[in-house]
Amino acid sequence: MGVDHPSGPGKGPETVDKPTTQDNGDKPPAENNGSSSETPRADSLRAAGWKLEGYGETGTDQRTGESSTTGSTGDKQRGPGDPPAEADPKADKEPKAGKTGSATDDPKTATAETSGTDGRDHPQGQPPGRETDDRAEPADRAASSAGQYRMPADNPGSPGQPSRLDDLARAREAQQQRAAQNAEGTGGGSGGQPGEARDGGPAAPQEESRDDKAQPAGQAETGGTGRDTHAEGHGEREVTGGEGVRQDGRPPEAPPADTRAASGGAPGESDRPASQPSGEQAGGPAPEAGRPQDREHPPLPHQDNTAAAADSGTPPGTEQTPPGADGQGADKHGTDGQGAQKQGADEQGDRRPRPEPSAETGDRTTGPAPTPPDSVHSAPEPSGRDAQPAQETGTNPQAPDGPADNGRTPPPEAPQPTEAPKPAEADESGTEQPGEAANGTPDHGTTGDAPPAPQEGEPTQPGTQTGEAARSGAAPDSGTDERGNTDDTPPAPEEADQSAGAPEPPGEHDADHGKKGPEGNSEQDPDETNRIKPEVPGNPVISNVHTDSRGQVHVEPRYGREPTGESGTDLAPNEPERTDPEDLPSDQALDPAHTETESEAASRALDQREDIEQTNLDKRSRYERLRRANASRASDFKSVTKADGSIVDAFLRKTPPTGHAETATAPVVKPSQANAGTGDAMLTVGLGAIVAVEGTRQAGRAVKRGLNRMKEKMNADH
Amino acid sequence: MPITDLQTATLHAQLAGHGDEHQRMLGQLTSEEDQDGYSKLLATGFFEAVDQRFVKDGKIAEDSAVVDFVANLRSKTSEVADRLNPSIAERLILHALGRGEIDDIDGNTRLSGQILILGGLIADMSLSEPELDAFMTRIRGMAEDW
Repeated sequence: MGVDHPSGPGKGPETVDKPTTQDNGDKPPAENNGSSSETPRADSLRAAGWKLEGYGETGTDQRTGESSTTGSTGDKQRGPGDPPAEADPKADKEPKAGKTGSATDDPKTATAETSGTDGRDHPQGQPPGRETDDRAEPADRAASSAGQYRMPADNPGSPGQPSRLDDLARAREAQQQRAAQNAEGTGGGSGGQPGEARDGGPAAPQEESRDDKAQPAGQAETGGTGRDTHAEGHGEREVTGGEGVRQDGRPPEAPPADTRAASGGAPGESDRPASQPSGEQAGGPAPEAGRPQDREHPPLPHQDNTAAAADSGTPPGTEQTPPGADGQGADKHGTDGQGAQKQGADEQGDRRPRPEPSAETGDRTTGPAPTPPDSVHSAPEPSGRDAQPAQETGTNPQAPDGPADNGRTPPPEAPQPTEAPKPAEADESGTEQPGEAANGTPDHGTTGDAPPAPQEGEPTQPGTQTGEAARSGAAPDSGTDERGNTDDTPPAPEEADQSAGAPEPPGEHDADHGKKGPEGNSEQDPDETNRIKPEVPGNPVISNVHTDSRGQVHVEPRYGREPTGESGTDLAPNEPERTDPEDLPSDQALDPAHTETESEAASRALDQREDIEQTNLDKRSRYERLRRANASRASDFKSVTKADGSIVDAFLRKTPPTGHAETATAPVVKPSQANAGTGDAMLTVGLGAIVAVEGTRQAGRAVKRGLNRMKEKMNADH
Repeated sequence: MPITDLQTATLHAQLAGHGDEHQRMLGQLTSEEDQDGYSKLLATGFFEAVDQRFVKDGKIAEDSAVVDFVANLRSKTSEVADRLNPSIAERLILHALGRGEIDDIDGNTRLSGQILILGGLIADMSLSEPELDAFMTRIRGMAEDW
């Protein structure tokens, strides 16, 4: 990419240089460089002295020729930022010329200039590609002529960058030469726009702007937003006018290079610094310069554009003026702004993936601008690419141009649509516009137109507006105030820078993604946008508040804050917010069902109590009944109790059990005959008597016999 | 008014079917206090026996149950049937259950009816000696609290 960037810057310078150099003539470029736009740019140079130098190196060649125009315009506007004495005188001269040109509003010239810048010229009649080519050519020429500004080349603040810058410068020179050739050749082919642009960017701007407006979105995009279109414009350039630009070898890169050249070498840095200085917000430039990334980025082509803007603020700005003459940022005071914007756009192209920041930035820039519709329109359109720097510087220059733009009512409309479709672009455009305006006050119209065109057909108008603003800036006469208003919106240097960074990301130049500057800016942008413009939809919701199951309340950043640091910080602060669950009512208490149960329980308790009371009443009543029952004492107590007692004893007396025992008894032996019969005794006695008689007889007989025998014996003995 | 042991023993002998002993002990209640105490204890026994018979699970039996009980009681002996007016018997029972009033019933009739109804409820309960003793203890306490 580094190579690309160089080529890019080469392109940048081409575009810017052409318009400036051509338009302003060789005079303005140098003058422009230091001069008009420089005041802020000078600041940027101071603050970003590195950048300026670095830009000078890289973009010097380009710037010298180109930046003169832009720078002139920017210087004029920035008159105060004179620091670059050299640039100032030139700027004074050129800016006037540029302004005059713008004032004259030679559309053709402006277109030529614008075309030179970013293809803003394209929007007019020619296809964006041609326009871009044309632009590139004039820018190159301007750059070549602007060789004077090589002084800034010496400046290359960043030590490491010089090498690239040198390379870039070389490439740019070659490109410029080629572009010059092409411009000459193609310029005629392009319809003399280039020539016009060279001649007097001023006239071109109007026409260009108009053309851009008139042109379809595609053209408008290409030519219109030269800045915004950087990507587009470059692409177109590559395609159509790739000739001049592509000479670098990298057609696509070349366009950014052109823009860079216009911006003045280190686009990123220049842009930012430019924006800062141009932003006239001293704070702005310093931080930007401090950013090494930005320094590195300068080589990027887009940055060149932006650098042109930045340069426009500073010496490079003068160079840018020539590119502005091309109609782009440089010419447009946006030179600073524009150049920056362009660069930013280039960067943005890279950053475009980050459209949001750009949008934010754009919003920011535009935000303040809103008062003047033109400025607003312009703001969105130009800012889109030139992004922040352009915005800053451009804003100032634009302020004066503003009126002119206002005079160009149509442009505002154009920017609106552009903005609407592409917020980021619009933002960018807003930044760009100022830048453009600053760069080529005359060209501004063209450039301004061109930038819007790239975004959308209308953007050219904003561009014109911006260009006008730039013009006015160059010619402080007219709308300086108005644009100043618009520009004032960007005035916050930091914001502008941030915004520039933002526009860069939206910058349609994807190739420039590598650029650090835009990224850093883009990062800053969201916050800044948030801060600056709460309106920005980007961060509508700052934090999410939710309660945990524990009942603790957590506040977490939803968007725009870095998760780590912020989250931690947020958590920490949130902790105090946390409420102890104890304090909170219990879930049961909150639960309606639970409450119902309680009510039920209460009812139950009541029921129980009632029951108890009833029982008590019953008891009481019972006792009462007893009392009543026994109230009347019985007069005949004894008789009653004795009579009724005997009756009760009768049925209460316990009778003994009747029946047999059913339990088993022991075995009993019974005689066979229990009763002896009378007949049986008689028989027994008779039988006994018979037995006794018989026995006696027998005994008597025996006795007798014995006696007989004795007698006989005795007798016998005898 | 405290319930004396004599009063309690007299009623206990009657409810135990010891007619002779009851008569003998009843003859000992000569003082009005003893007679009032005995009447009070007898009425308490009457209410308690009615609740145990006609109130179950907090529900009071229907009048028919009372009617049936009175009829059965009067059928035991001719003497009971002669001495116990069924309407008065039912009113006494319902009054014990919280229904109706017995203000128009004289004391002798109330006392005669309470003795007969209480004898019949205790005869139907077929209480054993311990159960009878518990019952007597309970009604004595109630009578004393009254």
